[in-house]
Amino acid sequence: MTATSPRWLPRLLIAAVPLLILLSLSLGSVPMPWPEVLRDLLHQQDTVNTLIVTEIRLPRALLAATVGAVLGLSGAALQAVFRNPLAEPGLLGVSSCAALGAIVALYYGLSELGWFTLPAFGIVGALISVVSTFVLAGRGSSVSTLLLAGVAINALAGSCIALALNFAPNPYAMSEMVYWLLGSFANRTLSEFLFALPFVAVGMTMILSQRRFLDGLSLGEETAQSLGFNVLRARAVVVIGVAAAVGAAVAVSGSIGFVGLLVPHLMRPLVAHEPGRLLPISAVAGAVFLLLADIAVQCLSPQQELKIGVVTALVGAPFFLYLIVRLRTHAP
Amino acid sequence: MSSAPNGCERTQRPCGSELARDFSPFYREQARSRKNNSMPLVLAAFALTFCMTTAAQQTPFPAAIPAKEIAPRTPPKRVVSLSLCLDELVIVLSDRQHIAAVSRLAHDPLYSVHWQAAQTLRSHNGLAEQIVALQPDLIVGADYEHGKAVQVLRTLGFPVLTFASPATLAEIPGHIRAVATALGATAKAEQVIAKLNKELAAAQAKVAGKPAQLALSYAPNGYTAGTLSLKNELLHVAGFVTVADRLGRRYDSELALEQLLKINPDRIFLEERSGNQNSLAHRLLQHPTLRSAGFDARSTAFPSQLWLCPGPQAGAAARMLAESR
Repeated sequence: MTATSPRWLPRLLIAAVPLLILLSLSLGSVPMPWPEVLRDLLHQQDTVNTLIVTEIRLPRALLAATVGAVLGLSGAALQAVFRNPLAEPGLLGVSSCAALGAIVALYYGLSELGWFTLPAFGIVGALISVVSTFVLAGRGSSVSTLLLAGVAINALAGSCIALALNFAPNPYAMSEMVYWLLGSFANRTLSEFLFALPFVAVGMTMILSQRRFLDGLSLGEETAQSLGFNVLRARAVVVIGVAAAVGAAVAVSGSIGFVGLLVPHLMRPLVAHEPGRLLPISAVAGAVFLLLADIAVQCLSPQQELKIGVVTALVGAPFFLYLIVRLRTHAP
Repeated sequence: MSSAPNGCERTQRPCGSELARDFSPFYREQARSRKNNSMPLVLAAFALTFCMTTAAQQTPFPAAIPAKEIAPRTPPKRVVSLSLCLDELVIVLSDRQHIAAVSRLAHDPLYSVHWQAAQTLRSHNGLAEQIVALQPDLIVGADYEHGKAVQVLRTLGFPVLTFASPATLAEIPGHIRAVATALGATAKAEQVIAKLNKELAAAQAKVAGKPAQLALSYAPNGYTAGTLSLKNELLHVAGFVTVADRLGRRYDSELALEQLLKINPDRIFLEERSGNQNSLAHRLLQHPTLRSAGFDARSTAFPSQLWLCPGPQAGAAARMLAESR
């Protein structure tokens, strides 16, 4: 509970993001002659190598960092808003509802109407799930009520995803369920990244703007109110921010679990358990975590790619178990 | 077909696993290893008589199902085919009034060569009860069909004939003859085979003397056909060397975009670029890098149904590939 955490750790995390992006750029199914590539990039000459780096590997690395930041930040924000250590986009069903929205937009031809439909549908799906969690579990609910609501929403979204993909008029739809449930950054395009970026930026700004409120909320709802916060409004801003960021991120990467759970818990001791300070560091750590996970995916199976959710779950699930054990021993 | 685990028969669209089973080289390999090359004609005829005698000997199962009494050697009057590749052959070889039903995929403009002709034919979804209701006097399928439907149909005394799928161009005429014998359409088969041979020879003549070009077949999800595939052989006929040859990939496999850019093929034959494109698998074929790297001019959308099934359409496929040179 003490704030004796090393001061260098946050700085190290921030420095790690660009380094990991560079590392991710150097990984792929073909070897890169780097001196040559750097020269061509500097002279803005389009060669096969520079195309591979800028149009195949760069979107992938940028997406991994962005989606990681979104999930880390959203996890921290949801845990603060629900005042519940298990709140997380994946467990609450925000990610799967966002995936459902994106699936409806993509496979039923709505994404042809404009670039914004895919992230927009993702956001609508995410919003529906957060609002229904609020309605189902209420604020300040017990861990079990929240989890039950999450289980119910996740199950419903999961079966709606299967339903939507099953009746989709494309023969590949059903086999792409794996992508939507486990996520991947393979073969993403720069334009997909740019489509998601404005929504992600707005969502993350909305969440971060409520840092002080979340600090106040950690002392209890009445205290927050007496500190002058409009609890209802501030909470709505955070929740809509989460929906916007997660919805857009999931629409271009599929739903990736456990990041939002794992990252804030690892970061919490570093910031003396202050929710406001937890937000930015969780975003940075989330980016680092997903970049590392994506690098692991590329190293583990370069030919037939693993879905990234496999790696995050392999790390995240044991942590989840540890959390349960700790919750049980700390229970009154 | 009925054993497809995801219940795809009930949906209104072609089903992934069904396609995979029809066309994957793995199944073709299996088919090849089991295949006895000597006298497929005699074998098929034998199998036919055998099936029909066992069918005739079988006691009628429930009273509602009448025992089949088919005199051998008369052409069947109510044929049902179980899979796309046989649908296409049955449509070519049989008289239309003798076709009781084809599989649903036969209606699909993306995968079926004779989808227009098939529109007026009844289709079934591979479930035994549908096929029984049609009261077929001959059911034809590919020999990898060990599904429950085939077992049920056999138990009920329906004559089910299965054929090994050809894995090479050289095996196609024998396959056509075997199916034609069962359908009582041997004369028609010889016409079809003669046309196929003529088209293949014409394609080879057209590209004779031209330098080999490096070709890539690129399907949704980035799949490229392996060296054991019919697609690869057809590309050879049209004077291409393929990326699969160069990489030594025997079976259909994914080729990463990065590798595609590096290998830099002279021609790319994009598959399934018509019809519904709303999936991640299809989106890969429209990746902006392909345009930036200048592959647009070297890419052709190739009609997948021409080389999906080993059949008479291989002639048209070879002609089209040769004309693209």
